[in-house]
Order: sequence, then C-alpha cells, then structure tokens
Amino acid sequence: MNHGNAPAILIAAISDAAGLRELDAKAWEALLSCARRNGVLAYLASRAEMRGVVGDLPPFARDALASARLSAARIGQLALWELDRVGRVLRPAGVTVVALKGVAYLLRGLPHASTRRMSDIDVMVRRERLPDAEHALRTAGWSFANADSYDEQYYRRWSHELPPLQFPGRLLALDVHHTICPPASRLRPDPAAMWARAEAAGKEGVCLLCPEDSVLHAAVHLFFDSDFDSRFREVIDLHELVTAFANRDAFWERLMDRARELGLERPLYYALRGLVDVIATPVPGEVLEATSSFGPPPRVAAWMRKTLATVLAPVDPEPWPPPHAVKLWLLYVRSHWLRMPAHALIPHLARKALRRTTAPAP
Amino acid sequence: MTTGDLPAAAFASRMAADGVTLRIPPITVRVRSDVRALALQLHNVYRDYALVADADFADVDIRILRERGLRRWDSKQAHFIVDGTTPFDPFPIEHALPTFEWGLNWVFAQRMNMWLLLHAAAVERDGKALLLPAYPGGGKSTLAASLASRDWRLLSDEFAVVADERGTVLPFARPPAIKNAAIDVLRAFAPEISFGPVIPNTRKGTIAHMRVPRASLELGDAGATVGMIAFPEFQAGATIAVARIGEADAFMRLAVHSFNYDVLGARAFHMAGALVRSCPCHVLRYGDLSDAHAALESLARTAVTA
Repeated sequence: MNHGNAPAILIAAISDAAGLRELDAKAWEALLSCARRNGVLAYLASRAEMRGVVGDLPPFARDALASARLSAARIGQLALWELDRVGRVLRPAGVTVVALKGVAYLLRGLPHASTRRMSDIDVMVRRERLPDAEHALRTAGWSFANADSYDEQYYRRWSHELPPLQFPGRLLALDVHHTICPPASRLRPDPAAMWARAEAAGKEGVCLLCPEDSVLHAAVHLFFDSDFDSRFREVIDLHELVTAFANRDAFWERLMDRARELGLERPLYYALRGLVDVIATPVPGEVLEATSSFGPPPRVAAWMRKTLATVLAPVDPEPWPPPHAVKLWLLYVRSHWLRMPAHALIPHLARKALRRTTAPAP
Repeated sequence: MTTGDLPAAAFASRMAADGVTLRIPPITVRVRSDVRALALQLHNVYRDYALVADADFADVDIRILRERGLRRWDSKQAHFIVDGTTPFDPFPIEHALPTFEWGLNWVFAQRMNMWLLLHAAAVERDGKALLLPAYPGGGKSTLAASLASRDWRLLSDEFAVVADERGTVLPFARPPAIKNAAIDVLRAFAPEISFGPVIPNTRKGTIAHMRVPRASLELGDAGATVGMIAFPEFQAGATIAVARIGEADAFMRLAVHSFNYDVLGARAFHMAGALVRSCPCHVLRYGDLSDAHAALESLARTAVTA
C-alpha cells in the first residue's frame, strides 16, 4: 500500500542512501514495492551498501535488500556463463562478438552490473558473419524461442537481430544483433565504425563497445525500444555509464563528436536531458548547451521533454489500472514508426492488437 | 484478533476497501480484493490466523481485482496484482482462491532469499521437524495435511523454510491444496477436517483447500529443529516401503528440491549438508495414509532412541 510519493522516495534514496535511515515502516513498504516494480531493488541495495547505511536499517528492510541482491548476483553469474557458452561455440567458427548491455557492464566491472534484472544476453556480430553465427549456434543446440513464422519474418526484415535464441533448459535467452539500431529506422549508425573502435574485453573472441559507443547504445535503447513500460531501469544504466566514464579525459567532447559521426545526435540530446530531469545526473551545463542543436524544433522539443520525463521516471506501482496508457501508446507507435515504413507498420500493429485480444486464458 | 473473530461480511468489505492484513508466519501479507467469493473463502480457510490491525508494513501486498475496461463484457476474469504488475495471465474468478495461493507461493519463492527454501512439506512434534520433500504428485501435501489432522503441527505443505545452519525450520503454514482423488481419501481418513470449496478445472485439476487446524497456529512464528527427512513417493496401490538413503543421495535430492539453492550458492551447500548430516533420511513409498503414518511413527521412535 502506498503512502506518499514512492517514486520520489526511490529517486531520493538512489541519490543519497543516507535518507533510508529516516524512513518509517509505511514509507519502506512503498519504497520496496516501487523499487521492485521498476526492477531496481538490488540496485537500491547496492547504493545502501556503498553509503554504509545497511546496518542502521530495520531488519525487514535489510532482508528485502539482501534478498534482491542475491537474486540479481545469481543472474549476473548466469549471464557471464551464458556468454562463455556462446564464445565456446562462436570462437571455433571464427566469429567475434561485441558484448552489449548487461553482459558488457559485467565485463567492464561497472558497480551496478550485478544488480540488473536480465532475461537475456545481447551480443553483436558483423552482419556478414550473421549466417555463420546462426548456423553455429543452432547446430550447438540453440533454437528460436516462441517464434512463429510471422515473428521470424518480422525480426529478420525489420528488426536488428535474429529472433531470440534459447538453449533448452536455460534461464537466459540470447539476442544476436548485427547493429544497434533497427535497419529500417532513420538512425543508421555504421556498425563498421563501432567495430573499428571496439575494445578488448579480456576474453578471447569477445569485445566491448568503446565508452562513447556504449553510452550512445544505451541512449538509443532508452528511446527507440518498443517497450516503454518501466524505462527507469534503462535510465539507471545510462546514469551509471555516464558517471563511470565522466572523469575520463575529454569524455564529453568525445561523446558529442561520436554522436555526430554515427548520426546519433537526437538520441543523445534526449538522453542527457532525461538524465538531468529524472535523476539529476551531473551533466555539465556546457554539454547541455553544446548539444541543444541536436534537438528537434523547439515546440516538439518541449513536448517530448515533458513526455519523456514522465515515461522515464519510476512507475508508481499503486494505482490500478496504471495511468498514462495513452501516452505510452503514442510513444510505442512513435518508436515503431522509426522502425518501419507506415505501410508496413499499420498492418503489424493491427495484427499485434488482434493477437492480444484473442490470447487464450490459462 | 483472528480472521474468524470478524463476521464474514465485515471481513469481505474490509478486504474490498483497505485490505486485510494477515500474519502468516513468518511473514505479513496484505490482501485486497473486490471478488467477494474469494474474501468469503479466505475467511473460511484462514479462520484462525491473526489479523494485523493498522499494519504499517506488509512483506507481501497482493490484489485480486476483477478485470475492468474493454474486456469486461466478454469474460468474468480477475487479475493477480503484486507491485503494480500482473505476473500471471488473467484467470476465471472461480479460480481466485487457488490463484491467490499459487501466487503467494510464487512471490515467496522469488523474494525470501534470506532462507533456504525447499520444495517440501514440513510438520513438527515436540520441537522436532519432519521434512517431506517431493516432486509434484509425490503426495507431500496430502501426507502433511493428514499428519496435521493428528498430533503434528503443520509447518507448511509447500515450503520447508530453513533459516540457519543449525537446521531451524520456520513455519509457513497455509491451507494445503488437496488435489483430485486425494480430496476424498483425506475426507475418509479424517472426517473432522474442514475444507474450502471444491474447485474443478484448475490447471492442477480439482482442488480443495484444507483449513489449517488451530493447533498448528498456536505456536505462531516459533520454528523447530529438523529431526527427520523423508522423501514421499505416493503410488496408487503401492505397499509401504521405507528405505534409508545415504547422506550424498539425500543431499542431491534436497538440492534438486530447492527453490533457491543456486541463488544462495555456498550458503545453501553448507545448509543442505548440515541437514543431511544431522538426521536420518529415508525414501517413503506409500499408497495408503495409515501405513505411511505407522511407518513415520516407527521412524520417529528410532530417531529418538538413536
């Protein structure tokens, strides 16, 4: 049951976990529920640990935090293991991968990496090696999970990945990408440019995007993914990446240059403003100034900034049914619009809507 | 104050408004629902549980709400809501009670990693716990329910909650979900047992929930120390067969029957190891409840004298 403003309590607690000492039981319940809803309870636990406040918290809170931390750590362990399995299959086939998102954060040793909820691991292979990778993985036992032929066509034609691959009996699926944006969208960052700056990951056959590219990838994900439900976790990813890289030499200049090179100015524009608006990430004022030309026309910019601040903020778990459905729907359409031409988009959405209303009861 | 101290109608209207908060040791659970039939059923099978007045904190908050909006016209369905999400598909409102029970189990298994959770029934007598870990269909719920109808305290029909390396097991007693033919078997075995409604066509067949006996709830949150482990294997018509198993075998079975062994890692390894070293472990194949009881009595006597 919610008392007060759970999303605000969550953001305050993430910004400074010392405040957790002041919460009463009612506020704790609201906070824990909100953190679970947004997939950041283990992250909150790590913030409390780093601030050294865990010992001062009530036992029920300590238990809830420690429990979430253990679950997430286990997922992280499984993700690295899954990547190891993938490497064992692709290395002999001569296919190198770039680890993306969750597994990449783990390989980089980012502090929040082992607090993330994950249902799959993501890797990128060179487009021309995609058939080899697919063949090697399917021969080794992976298969396309839950994909009927329509889904498979959709993924292959419009998406930037193979349909999700699943090894029987394993918890985590495998997404194999050949670029970081959908090929049919207006965004066309050149994968070759990203491969050219990829860094060694300390594992044979596995690379990492360079810091600027990993931030840009996370920015693309924030706004151009179709799942607009609970984006807050992605905000945390981006916040942690930016925080980890910010003190590197000339990071912000390199980031802006790279956004221009890859044609990802717009996602970076929104991402930086989202970070500032939602979680007060210390983005230097001159960077915001310098990226203002990356935005849309001012009227659109104002509307988008307001809308995105709502969509990116933690979701409040209390009201049922959840509000904002219309706004989320608009953004969902928008994200698909970028992904597919309209003549293909409308039948696709109709088909998905039809499928939803005819889903069988358990 | 217990659930039964409130008239059923008052319980139902409270559940539809701010919700009802129950102490289900070792956790506190708040339930809100506009499905009146569910409220009345919970009032029956949770009759002797303590109500928490003005609960500031619940470990788990569950809402079971009728479906609203566009689809209301075409189905009498409800949602299971926890933390503002619906982890399961909507379900027919007649299945609200089993869905609440399964859902609470699911949430418990997801969240309670401060304890090693075994997929086992557990009962207690004189401070000593008997664990009954089994695969679904192994007959653990029925056996535990039948033991609870005699002089055993029901700790749980689904989870053995192991709290520490000394083998302390906490209660998580809930109305045992008795399935299909076992309903009539248990009724014949212990006619005094009180059941909730018989609910057909669930994903596990026909189900009836046994009201937890008051005697099982009197000790509240108090735990017990594991004194014996038996792995029940129900087989219709089988004659009773009890076989002692070695520590390594028992250990592997416990690991397989754990919900969070992999999450707890080394700690689970040491806890399960301590359990199988601390007490005798047997496989109990049975086809008849009275035979199973007699075999367990005989094992319990040996365990005490050993």
